[in-house]
Amino acid sequence: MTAPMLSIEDLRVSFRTDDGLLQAVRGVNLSVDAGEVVSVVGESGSGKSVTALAVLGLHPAQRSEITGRINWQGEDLLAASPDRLRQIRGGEIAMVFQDPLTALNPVHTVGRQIIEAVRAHRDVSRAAAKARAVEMLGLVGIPQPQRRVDMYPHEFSGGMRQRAMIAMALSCDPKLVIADEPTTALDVTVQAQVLELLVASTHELGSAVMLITHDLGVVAGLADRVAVMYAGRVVETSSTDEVFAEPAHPYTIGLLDSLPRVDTDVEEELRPIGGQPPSMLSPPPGCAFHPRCPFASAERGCMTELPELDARPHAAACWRRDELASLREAVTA
Amino acid sequence: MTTFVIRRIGSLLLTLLGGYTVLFILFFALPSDPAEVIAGGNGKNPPAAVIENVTKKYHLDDSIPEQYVRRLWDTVTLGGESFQTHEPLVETIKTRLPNSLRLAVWAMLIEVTVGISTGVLSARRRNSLLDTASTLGTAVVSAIPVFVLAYLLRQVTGVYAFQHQWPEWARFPVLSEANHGWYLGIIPSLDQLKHLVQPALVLASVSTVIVARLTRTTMLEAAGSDHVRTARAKGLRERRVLTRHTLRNALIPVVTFIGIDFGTMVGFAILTETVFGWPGLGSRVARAASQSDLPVVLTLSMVVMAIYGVANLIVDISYAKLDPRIRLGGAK
Repeated sequence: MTAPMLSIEDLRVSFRTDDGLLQAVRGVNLSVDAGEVVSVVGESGSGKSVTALAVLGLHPAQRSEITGRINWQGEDLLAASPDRLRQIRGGEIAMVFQDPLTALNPVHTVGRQIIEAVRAHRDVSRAAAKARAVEMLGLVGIPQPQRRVDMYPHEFSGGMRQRAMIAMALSCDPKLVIADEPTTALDVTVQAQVLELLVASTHELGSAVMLITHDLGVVAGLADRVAVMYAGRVVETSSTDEVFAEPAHPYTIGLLDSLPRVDTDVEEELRPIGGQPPSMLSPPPGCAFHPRCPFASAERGCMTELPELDARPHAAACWRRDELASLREAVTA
Repeated sequence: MTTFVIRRIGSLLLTLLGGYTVLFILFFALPSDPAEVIAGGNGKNPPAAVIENVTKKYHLDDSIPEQYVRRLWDTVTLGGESFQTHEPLVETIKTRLPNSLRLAVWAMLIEVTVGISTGVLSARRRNSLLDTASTLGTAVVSAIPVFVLAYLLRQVTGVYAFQHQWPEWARFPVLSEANHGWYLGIIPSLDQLKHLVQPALVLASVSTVIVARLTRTTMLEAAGSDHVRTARAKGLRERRVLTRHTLRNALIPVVTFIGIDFGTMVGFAILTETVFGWPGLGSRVARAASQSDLPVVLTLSMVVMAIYGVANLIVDISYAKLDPRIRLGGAK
């Protein structure tokens, strides 16, 4: 087996705040292969975005402490020089942010913002870069790209703006696109369109996608693999089909139970997960999910010892993983 | 755009008429008899014949509406002359307006260069020694009234320096002589520079610290915005992120402030001009007001108001250019 294109090993990110050290990410292991769509799922505050920003080194150095390894095609991004990091940003790993209204600069035209991205990585003329911008806007389905390229972000609709962001991200043929909740700020009616477009256009260019979302529902049809995050750690990861068919962590089970399903005739009740995600200023000892877990047990060490992600192909971090199936039956019976 | 400018000029003219009316009414509401003040004034009792002559000459016995119209005509055509010096107002404007503009332009240059660069540096090196020093400096400068600062400066460099035989370069003339020594009308000769430096610094002082503070705030705000993170995520050089995406956005409110401030500096540099004897519009209006010199007060005030209004108009237009989200009213 060859090494994955991106592999994050034991990534830890903490922020110094007035209330103390906030441990946003506490040992994340995650990998993305070339051309693959990996979805990172979790509630707000689970550390998904923090992980993504750490890959590109976008956390302010004065306030954050980052340890671990981020291997990008054999080099450690945490140790990379600022110049090298700059080449990678946008050139090899591009990012699509959550809210395209604030993520685009209001005082420059959309075209200018794509042009400068292109010219940051390629030695091409302004005209050639503009042609590329028009081409990319066309690729993401913006009508009349020659005219639109000279318009300002506020003259675009929300969905159009996010398409433009995607066009900008793809303009330098990156090998990986990190999309951080790319549809959360959009109108519900265009969310599916934009997501499909993101996956389709990256597929066309052969780029991999790391799709960050809090909505397990959007993952189902799009992602090859899923990593579920909770309280700054990956608690379960496998192929999308396996995670949906046979969730191996109580948190994933909870997420799935709180989703309406359209693929069965059985009328199931939606069950929300009780309780609140923990404060990352003082995460609970043991498994961080134990205060909300219906199966937590003191004898198994749930309250005292932190479970590691096991080494199986369908990996999960739960002390009672192998008993889950029978435990669930007992609950529903 | 054209519609907008025409409408703004229209409303500026109305504002000027309003300003004229207020000043005119105030003048006649004063308890003293203008003719008496002109004839000698200041508590002396000028001969009745003189007062009568003055009254005739300046039509002060006409009805108020008649005088209102006559003065308005004089003001619009820049006709008329000073009650006191009999200098035609056209001449007064010709010699003094350029001086006011020169002083304001140089003060604005100081404000822009020192203010913006200090603000940018404080924001970039937040909580550094420079940032702390500039915060302190700001507090000190804004706490000292302009006339105190001006008198202190003049006393030290203009009086003390001469008394104690300071070297030539540290001695500055007490009174200004602004009508000569300009290249291209705006660049001071070395000699003129000595006259210019102090009033320009004093006039710029408060504005400069405001600009520095404002720039610091807007820079910090812009630096924390999402689109700056996007710019970084695109792999742009830090320099470009700073200039095109941080400074460019941060300067929008700063430019607005500076534009309006320029209008103020042209017309209302009264304290600075008076202390340093700078022969601009402000010091002349101040003197005229204390002498009940109605034509001077009216005409020069209108000139100042017009400049202020035009400066505001330019600010609004450039604001729309700087921030594409702003649409000028009336433009479709």
